[in-house]
Amino acid sequence: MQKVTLAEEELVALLKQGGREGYDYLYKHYSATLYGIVLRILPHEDQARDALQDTFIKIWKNISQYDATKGRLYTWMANVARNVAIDTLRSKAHQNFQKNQNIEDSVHTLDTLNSNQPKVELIGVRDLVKELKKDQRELINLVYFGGYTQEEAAKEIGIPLGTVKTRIRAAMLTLRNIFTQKEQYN
Amino acid sequence: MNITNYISSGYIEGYLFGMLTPDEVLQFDTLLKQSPVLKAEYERVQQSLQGYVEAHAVVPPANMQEQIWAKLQKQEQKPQPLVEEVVEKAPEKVVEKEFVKPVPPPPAVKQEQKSAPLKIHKLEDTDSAKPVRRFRLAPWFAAASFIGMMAASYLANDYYNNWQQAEGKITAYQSEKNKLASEMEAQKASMKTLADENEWFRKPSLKFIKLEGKAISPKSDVIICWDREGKDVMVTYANMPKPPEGKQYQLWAIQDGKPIDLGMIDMNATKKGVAHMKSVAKAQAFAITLEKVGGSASPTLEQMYVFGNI
Repeated sequence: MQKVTLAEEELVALLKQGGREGYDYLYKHYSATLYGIVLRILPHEDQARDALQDTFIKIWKNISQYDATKGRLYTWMANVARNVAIDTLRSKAHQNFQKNQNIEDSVHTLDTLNSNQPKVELIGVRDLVKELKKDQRELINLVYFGGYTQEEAAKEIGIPLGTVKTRIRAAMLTLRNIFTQKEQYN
Repeated sequence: MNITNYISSGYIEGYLFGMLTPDEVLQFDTLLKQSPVLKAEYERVQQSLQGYVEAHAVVPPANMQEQIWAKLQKQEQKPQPLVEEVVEKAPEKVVEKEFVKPVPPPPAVKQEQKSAPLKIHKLEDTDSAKPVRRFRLAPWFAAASFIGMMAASYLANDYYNNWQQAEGKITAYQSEKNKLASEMEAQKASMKTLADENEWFRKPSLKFIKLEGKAISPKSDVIICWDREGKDVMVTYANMPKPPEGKQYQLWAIQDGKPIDLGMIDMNATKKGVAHMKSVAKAQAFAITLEKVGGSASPTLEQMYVFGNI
């Protein structure tokens, strides 16, 4: 995402007008982030494209329900994308989709899912998340991009349920340090 | 409710990641309105998450901007249409163009539908007994195109593999580069420390004082470096027994017969380099005594290990 030149509240007002200007601004500044989120959850591009479309429709329709006192617009939009993608992942359609892929396709999907080699776009991420400890990164990815509940995350990683939240807290603090450092360098 | 504890228990992250129970969400909403501390921290956590999410950004395929806009326009013409309804009611062509169905029909079914009419077509062809010549070219053409296809797919695959490998190498080089860069930074920092220390030790105002072992530990000796101008005091060398559990060495300056506390000696620091102590402007002697951890207000004279006059 590029630097936002419109304050969030200005963008909200613009979106509420429902015009092309608001849409273009929204798309220009947020589509890459939103696509990144759904692509991370749904590695198959066809599904990710659909999810991106549904995300924009939901944002467009529900912008009047956005409550600035409960969080930033960015957070809200990211959550919409995340929920759309996770719903798709857990839906029956997705299970069928998985079954119907031909072999070549699923090999490729598996590759994208498991490969340690990132997509070109993700190389920047590698630099960044490398600074996070492996278990911290795993945890954030599970609960954010995987939509895991506390219980599921605790089970998956094998840590006590009570420590999931504090672990995530620690991970987020590390993240914050990384970003503050980055800002200093830039 | 202690807000600091609440924050460090990870409720903000739980809220952001949708991991709280409905009751906890309500509590969070209420607290958020009441506590500016929570609000500020919530803001910061959102920023960190934003950074993390942005780092994963991927530009969507080029045609999507128009495609989604068209879709939005359509939605607005029909008030409150559900996505499913649009799919069902819209004319087929439009559906295929504008709404890529997430579930393609199973390939098996597709093939059956297609192959059935094909067979019939072929049968009709042979029955009508058309010139044989035309059929001779067809297998060749089919074979050629098959070979062509195989070659193309091999090349594509090969190209893809090479690309993947190259990408892997780039990532490896990049991480190597970053590692070297951070090592370099660390080296620079330690060079700077050394240079600073070196410069400090060359000052003419420095005085080195040797403290000799007292009766309790005759073999001990310690060297103190004192900058009479800057008043800094350092322990540059300390040959003393390891202090017992719960005890620490404390350095004193003797000024006009009175002891002045110069702080506790970090024995680990003296092993690796120098231990920086508190400053003193005037002194006639230095002494080290063994005291309880954290130090005493006045020295325990029976536990004096080393002493040295200036």
